[in-house]
Amino acid sequence: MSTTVTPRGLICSLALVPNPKNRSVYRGLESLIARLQPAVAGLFLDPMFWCPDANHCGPASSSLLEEAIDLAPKDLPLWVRITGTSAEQTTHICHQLENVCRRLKYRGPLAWVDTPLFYHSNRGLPEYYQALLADTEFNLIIDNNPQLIRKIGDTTKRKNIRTAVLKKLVQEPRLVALVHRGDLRRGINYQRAVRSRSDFLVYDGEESNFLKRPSASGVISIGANLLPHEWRTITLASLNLEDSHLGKAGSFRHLWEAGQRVRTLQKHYKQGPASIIPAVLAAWGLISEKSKGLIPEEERATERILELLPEP
Amino acid sequence: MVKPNKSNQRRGAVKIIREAKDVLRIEAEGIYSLIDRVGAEFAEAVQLIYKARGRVIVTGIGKSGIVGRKVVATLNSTGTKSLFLHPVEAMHGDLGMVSPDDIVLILSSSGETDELKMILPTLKDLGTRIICITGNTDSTLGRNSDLTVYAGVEREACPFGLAPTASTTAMLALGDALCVSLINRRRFQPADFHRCHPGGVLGERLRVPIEMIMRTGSSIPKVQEETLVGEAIKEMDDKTLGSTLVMGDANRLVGIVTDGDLRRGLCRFKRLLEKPVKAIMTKNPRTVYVGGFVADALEIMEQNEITVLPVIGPKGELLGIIHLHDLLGKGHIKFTM
Repeated sequence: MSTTVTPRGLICSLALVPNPKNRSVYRGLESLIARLQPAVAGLFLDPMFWCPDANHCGPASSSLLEEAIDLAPKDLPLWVRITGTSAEQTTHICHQLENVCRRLKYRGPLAWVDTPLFYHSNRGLPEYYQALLADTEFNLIIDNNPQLIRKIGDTTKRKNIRTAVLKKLVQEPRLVALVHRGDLRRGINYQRAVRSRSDFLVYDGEESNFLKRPSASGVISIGANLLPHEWRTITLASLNLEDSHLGKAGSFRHLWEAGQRVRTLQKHYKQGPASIIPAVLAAWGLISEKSKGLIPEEERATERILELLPEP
Repeated sequence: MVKPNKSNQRRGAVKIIREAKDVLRIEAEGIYSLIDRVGAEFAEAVQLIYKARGRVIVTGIGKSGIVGRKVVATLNSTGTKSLFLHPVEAMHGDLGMVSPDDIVLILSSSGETDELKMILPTLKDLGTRIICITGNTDSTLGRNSDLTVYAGVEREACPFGLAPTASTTAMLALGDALCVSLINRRRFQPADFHRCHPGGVLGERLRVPIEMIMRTGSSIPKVQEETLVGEAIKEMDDKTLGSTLVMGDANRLVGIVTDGDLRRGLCRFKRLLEKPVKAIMTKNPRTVYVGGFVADALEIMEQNEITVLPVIGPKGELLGIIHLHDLLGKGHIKFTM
């Protein structure tokens, strides 16, 4: 049975700490995947999230991908960040990672994830992706991430993918999903733009948006690193993937409580999830290396989370 | 006690309004997105129900069940025999109400509702045709139904799925689309609606006897065959019905002059005002008998695309006239109900 690379549901963006010595590149990957895999529909290897400085943060490395392919169940979708600092670099990274898959003879559910506006403008995007996809056998997911573009600090740069451009992009059948971060109205416009493709999914890239008004496709969650089962419960219920909570006494309460736990933790880690979540995971002993350079607020948030959740 | 700050109140109100607009936007978009997804399977579902010899048994649980009850009500009131089957009661004997001639309409957002999955094998054993309306066509219920109609939405308006919102709205809208398509197939008429709705406001209006609302006496616009068109126009203008009846001997109706007849007359005659009305009138106009009901009059008006109808007595004599507005309660004479 073939597994789709874009399952409806919970996609967990892994919270790891890069090892500067570049040996066994990301410590804790094994324990983290083992903990997450019963609860999630897919895993996202996104160094752009766990790297504090977006401008100096690379895409997923070959060794990370190799490790992830080795450790993750073969039918678990893997999303891999390929975004570089230019179109040429991104294409190069994509080829490099593709070679890893070829070498390992990996044919599992894998898709590349790219935030095009990080290095490219809206103009010419469809042609660019056509060329990129011609050289890869895996599908592509695009990430609309205005917050990340804002971090570059270029005020003249457009922060969002234009809806008209998205309409053209979805004519490419191997572009299979969009991760949207940002306001609801734009999200609805994007959904309108992709309506011609019934197989095209739109995921919520921001947890808080999903918790408030859940999209029907799924969510990219960072908090799932801490509370995978609660996130699974909420995602399944929000997407109407299960009706089992209906009609069972007490399960609405269970759902509500899971939601409150998720929201409470989110309130604490939202100021610096890339630092705070790995720090909590390290304190739990799930990953071996703690994030470095936590600012006092992040230290306090970590402590508060550990008070609420002393163990995994 | 601390008084609530006015600016805080204002901010709170703005937030509430914004949230409400977001919810409406999501729900509207949910229905809008279904437009492109309505396809051949929906048409097949309508045909299947239309041709069925039995009833439509609607089933669902939770919010889908509530939507199901509304669909049942609409189907029944528009001429399709329908029953609601609670899936839990079904497992405890109510499945006996289902016969092989019936069509079972399953409503489930996820398509994985345990209670519905449990009754599915029995329904299949009975040989009943199953239509599933679901947001997940690749689900257990979707795959095991004879026809699966997609009713998914892009986004729910309520957190945690605690209260399905846009998905149930979409399902309800699709249920209405099904009912209206059936109305059109069955050529359901106002009189049929009247039979199904004796207690409703529209139903009550439709079953009012014509004589109760018709215009009589001097309020009937009427002229003789030899009356000049100029005078007939004055009569039409005075009585404000957009037409005048043309009378022959013994108070017998021989024709009608409407705005349309005047327009056509203007094209035909240079000195129209000096012509007798019989030159331009429509002979033998449609009429309604005084013993009928408003529903009968409405049906004649709709079928013939006319707005006024003379009311005739048992001997063919003119008794009155009714305008479409009178039927709908918008004219001079209004219903007092």
